[in-house]
Amino acid sequence: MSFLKRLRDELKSDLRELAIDAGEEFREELIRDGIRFTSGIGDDLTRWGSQYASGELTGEDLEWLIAAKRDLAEMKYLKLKGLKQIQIERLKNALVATVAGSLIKAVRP
Amino acid sequence: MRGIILRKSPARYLRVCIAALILLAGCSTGTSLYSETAYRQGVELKVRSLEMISKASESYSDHQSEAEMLRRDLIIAYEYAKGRPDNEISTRQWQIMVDPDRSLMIGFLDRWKDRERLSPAFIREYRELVSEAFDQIIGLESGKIHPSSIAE
Repeated sequence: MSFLKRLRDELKSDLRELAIDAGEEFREELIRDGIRFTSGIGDDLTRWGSQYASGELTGEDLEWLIAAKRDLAEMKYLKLKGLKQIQIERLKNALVATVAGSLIKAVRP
Repeated sequence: MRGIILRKSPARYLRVCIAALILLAGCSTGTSLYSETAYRQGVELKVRSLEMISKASESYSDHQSEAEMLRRDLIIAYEYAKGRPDNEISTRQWQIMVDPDRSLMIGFLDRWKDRERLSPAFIREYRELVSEAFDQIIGLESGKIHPSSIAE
C-alpha cells in the first residue's frame, strides 16, 4: 500500500472516530436556555407587577430589577458565546492531534 | 488540483499537511485557559455579594467598611480578568458586574449607599438575579480548557 493511501485511510478512520457533533449540542443548549429565560421573564414581570401593586416594590425598585434582568441576559449570552469558542478550541486541538497521529502512523513502516 | 499534487509530488503534499498543522495549532480562538484563581474568585465573590445583599435592609453606614472591601475585591477580580491574555469574554462579564452605571454589584452598592436601606422584597428578588449573574461567570470559567489537558 502506498504511503499516501495509508495516510488517507488512517485519516478517514481517525476522523470518523472523532464524532464531530459540537454544533448540534450547542444549538440544543442555546434553545433550552432561551426558552427557560424567556418564560422566566414573564413570570418575573408578573410577580414584580403584583409586588408593585401591593406596595412591596417601588417604581424605582421595579426599574432596577428589570435593568438587572437585562444585565443578566447579557451575562448569559456572553457565557454561551465563550463556551462555543471553547468548544471550537477543543475541536481544533482534537483535529490537530488526530491529523498528526495519522501522519505518524502513515510514515511508520 | 490536489489530485495532481498527490500524484506528482507526494513530498510536497506532506509538507503542505505539516504546514497546515502548524498553522492550525498556532491559531487562537480567543479563549484563555482555565484558572483556579479566577474560579475561586468567582465563587468567593458570589458568596460575599449575596451575603452583602441580604444585609441591605439594614443601614449602609453600619456595613460601609465591609461594602467597601467587597467593592474593592470585585474590581480586583475585573482587573485580574482583564490582565489575562485571550480573556475578553470573561473580562466583559466582570466589566458588567463592576460597572457603576449598570445594575449588578457595584451599581447595587451605590444604590444602597444612596438609599441607606432597601426593601426586603427588592432584596429577595434582586439576590436571585445576582446569584444567576455570578453563575454565568463561574460557569464560563469552569468550562474552559484545563492547562493539564494540553500538557498530556
